[in-house]
Amino acid sequence: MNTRIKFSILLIGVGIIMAFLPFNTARSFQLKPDELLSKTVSDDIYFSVDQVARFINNEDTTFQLIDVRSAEQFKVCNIPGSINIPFNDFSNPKWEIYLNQKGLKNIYYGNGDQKASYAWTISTGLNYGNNFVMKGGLNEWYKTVMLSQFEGENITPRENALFENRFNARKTFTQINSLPDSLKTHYFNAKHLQTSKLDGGCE
Amino acid sequence: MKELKNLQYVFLFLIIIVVLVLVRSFNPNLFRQVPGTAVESAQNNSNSITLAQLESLKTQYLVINLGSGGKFDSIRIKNSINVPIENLLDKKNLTILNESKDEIILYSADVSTTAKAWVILNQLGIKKLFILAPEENSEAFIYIFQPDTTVRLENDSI
Repeated sequence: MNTRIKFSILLIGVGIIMAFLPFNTARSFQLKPDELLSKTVSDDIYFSVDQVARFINNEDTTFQLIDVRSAEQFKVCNIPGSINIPFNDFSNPKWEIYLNQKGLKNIYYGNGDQKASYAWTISTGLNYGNNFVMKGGLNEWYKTVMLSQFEGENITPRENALFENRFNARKTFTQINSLPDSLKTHYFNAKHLQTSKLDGGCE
Repeated sequence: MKELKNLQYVFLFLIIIVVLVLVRSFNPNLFRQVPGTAVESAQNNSNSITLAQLESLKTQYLVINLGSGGKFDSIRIKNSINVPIENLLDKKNLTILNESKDEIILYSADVSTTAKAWVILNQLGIKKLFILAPEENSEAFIYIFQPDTTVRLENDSI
C-alpha cells in the first residue's frame, strides 16, 4: 500500500474525530480548578482605596482600573482613568484586548465587592495575568477618599501624607467627574501641560 | 489482511488521538462551561436569594457556609454545612455538590469569597447554585456625587 493511501486514510480518520468534537468558539477557563482556588484564597489580590488613590496621584501607567458597573452608573461618576466594562457584557470577546495586556495590572471595581470578584475570577480563570480587586469598591472609595476628614489637634507626618494623598485624589475625582463628557478626555492633557510647566520642562 | 497490517501505524495514531480526546472530555479536573454562563446567571443578581426567600422555599435546599477560622461567619443558618473555601474542591465536597438534587446556597461573611466560589462551581457545571444575598445590597451606590459646577478646563483652574 503506497504512502498516499495511508496518508489519505489518516486524514479521513482525523476528520471524522474532529467532526464529532463539540465545537465551541468561546474559551473555557484555562486554569485548573485547584490552581484557581488557591489564587482565590490569597489576600494578595486586593488593593485598598488608599493604594489606588496613590496610583492616580502618581499617574502610574502600570495599572488599569476597570469599572464593572453599568454604563449609566459609569457616566455619573467613576475613578479617573478607569475604563468601563459592564459585568453584564463581560464575556464579550471584544474586551479581551483590554483585559489581557501583559505588564498591566487590572484593578476591578464595582460599587461593592461582588461584581468585581466575579470579574476577577473569570479573568483569572481565563489566565489573563495580573488581576486585582479594589477592596470595598466605589462605596469604600467614597467613604475613605471623598469624605474622610482629619479630626484632632496634632497630625503626624504619616497621617499628613495619608490625608494629602486622599485630598489630591478627591480633587482629581471631583474635577474630572464635574466636566462635561466631551471635555473629560482633554483633562489629563491639560494636567500634563501644567505639570511640565511646574517642572520647568518643555511642552 | 496484509493491507490492514500495512495500516497498523495509521490506526495506532488514530487510536491515540481518540484516547486523548476522551481523557480531555471526561477529566473531572477541568472546567467545561464557558464564562458566558456565569455572566448570564449572575445578571441582575438572578443567582442571589435573600434570607426571607430562603425561609419561604418549599423545596429542599443545601446551605454551605464557606467561612473558616477567624473569618467564620456570625450568621447561622439551620441545617447548613461548613465547607471552608480552601476545601471547596476536596473530592468529598465535590461529590456532595455534584450529587445534590436540591438548590445549593453559598454564603460567607465576605461577599467576595462567596462570589468567587460561586463562579468556580458554576464553571464546573454545578447546577441550581445560588448565593445568599447580604442584608444590604452591596452593589448599590449609597452616596450621591455632587459635581463642582465651578470647574473649568483652563490650566489655571486645575
